Amino acid sequence: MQYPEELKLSVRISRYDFDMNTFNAATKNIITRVQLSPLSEEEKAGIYAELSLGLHKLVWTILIAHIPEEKLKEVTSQTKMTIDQYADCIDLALKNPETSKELHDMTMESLQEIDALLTKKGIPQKIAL
Amino acid sequence: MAEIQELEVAPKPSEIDVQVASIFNRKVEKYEKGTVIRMYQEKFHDLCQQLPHEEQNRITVKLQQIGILVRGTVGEYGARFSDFIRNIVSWPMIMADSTFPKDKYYQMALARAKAWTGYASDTTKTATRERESFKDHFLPSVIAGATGGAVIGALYGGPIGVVAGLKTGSEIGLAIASSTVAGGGLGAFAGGLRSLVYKIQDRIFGHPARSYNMDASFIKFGASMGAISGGAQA
Repeated sequence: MQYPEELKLSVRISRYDFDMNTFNAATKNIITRVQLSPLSEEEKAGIYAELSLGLHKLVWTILIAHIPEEKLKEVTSQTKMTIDQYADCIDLALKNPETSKELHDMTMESLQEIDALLTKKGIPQKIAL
Repeated sequence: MAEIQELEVAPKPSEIDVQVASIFNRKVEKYEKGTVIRMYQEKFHDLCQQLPHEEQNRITVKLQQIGILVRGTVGEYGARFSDFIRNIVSWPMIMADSTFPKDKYYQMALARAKAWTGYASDTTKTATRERESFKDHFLPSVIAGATGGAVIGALYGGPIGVVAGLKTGSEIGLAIASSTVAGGGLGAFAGGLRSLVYKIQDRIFGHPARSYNMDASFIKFGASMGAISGGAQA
C-alpha cells in the first residue's frame, strides 16, 4: 500500500517527536548548532558526512566484535557469504546482551565529544526556538 | 610521481571535518585494540558487499526477521536509534536485492558504502573523491532540491519576515502588529529549521526504516504471495 508523501512525513515526525531518548536529542542538538553556526555550507556538509561515516563505522566495529570468532573465521574463509550466514552473524552479535548497551554507550560518547568540539570551536549551544 | 600529483590535487577536508573524523577513528582504534576484529573486518565487509542476488526470496524474509530482532534488542534506546541500527544491518541485504527501489536514500547509502574505503587513513585520490561525493549529499542545494525548495524557503524566508516585521512595526509604532509579524516569522524559521534538521538526520542515519524499508518489503512480499497464490489457482 502506498501512502501519500505528506502523510508519511507527518507520521514519521510525530514518531520521532515522542522519541525522547538521548541519542535522538543529541544528534538533533548537534545538527541545529551546526546549522545555526557561521560555518560555510561546505564545512557543514563535511561535518554531517563525517558524522554519518563515523557512526556507521563505529557500529560495524562493535557488531563484528560481538560475532563469535569461530563464526567469523568460518565465513571469512569462504569466497561468498549466503544471506542466511549473514543473518546468523547479525543474530549472534545482537543477541549478545552486552552489544546493545555498548552500541548505545559508544555512539553517545562520540556525540558528546562532537558536542564538546563545537563548543571549543566557539559554536554556541542552540537558542530555544 | 603520478601518485604524488594525484595527492596534490585531491580536495582537502576542512579542519573541523578532520577533527570530527578523528573522534570516531580514536574510538574505533581503542575498541579494536587487543581484539581479533582487524583480522576479519575487511574480508567480512567485502563479503557483505557481495551477498548473492539469487537469494531474492530469502532477503525479504530475513529483512523482516532482522527488523524484529533489532527492535527487540536495541528498541529500549528509542525509535531513532533502533531505526539507525536496522538501516545498518539491512544495507548489505538491500544491496543484494535487485528489486529494491533505487531512490535518493538508496543512492546516498551507496555513496556512503563507497566512501567507506577512505574512512580511516586512506588519502588516495579515489578515496578522497568518494568522500567528497558523499559529502555532496548534505549540501543545502541537494537537500532543498529533494523537497522543491520548501525547506530553504522557510529557513531563509522566516528571518527575512522577522526583520521586515520588526522594521515596519517600529516605523509605524504598532508594537502588537510588530510582535505578531515577528512571532509568525520566528515560527516559520523554527518550523523550517526543524524540518531541515529532520532531513539531515535522515541522511546521516539512512532512510527511515519503518516508512520505507518495510513498506517496500511488504509490498514485494504481498506481490510474491499474490503471484504464488495466483499461480496455484491457475
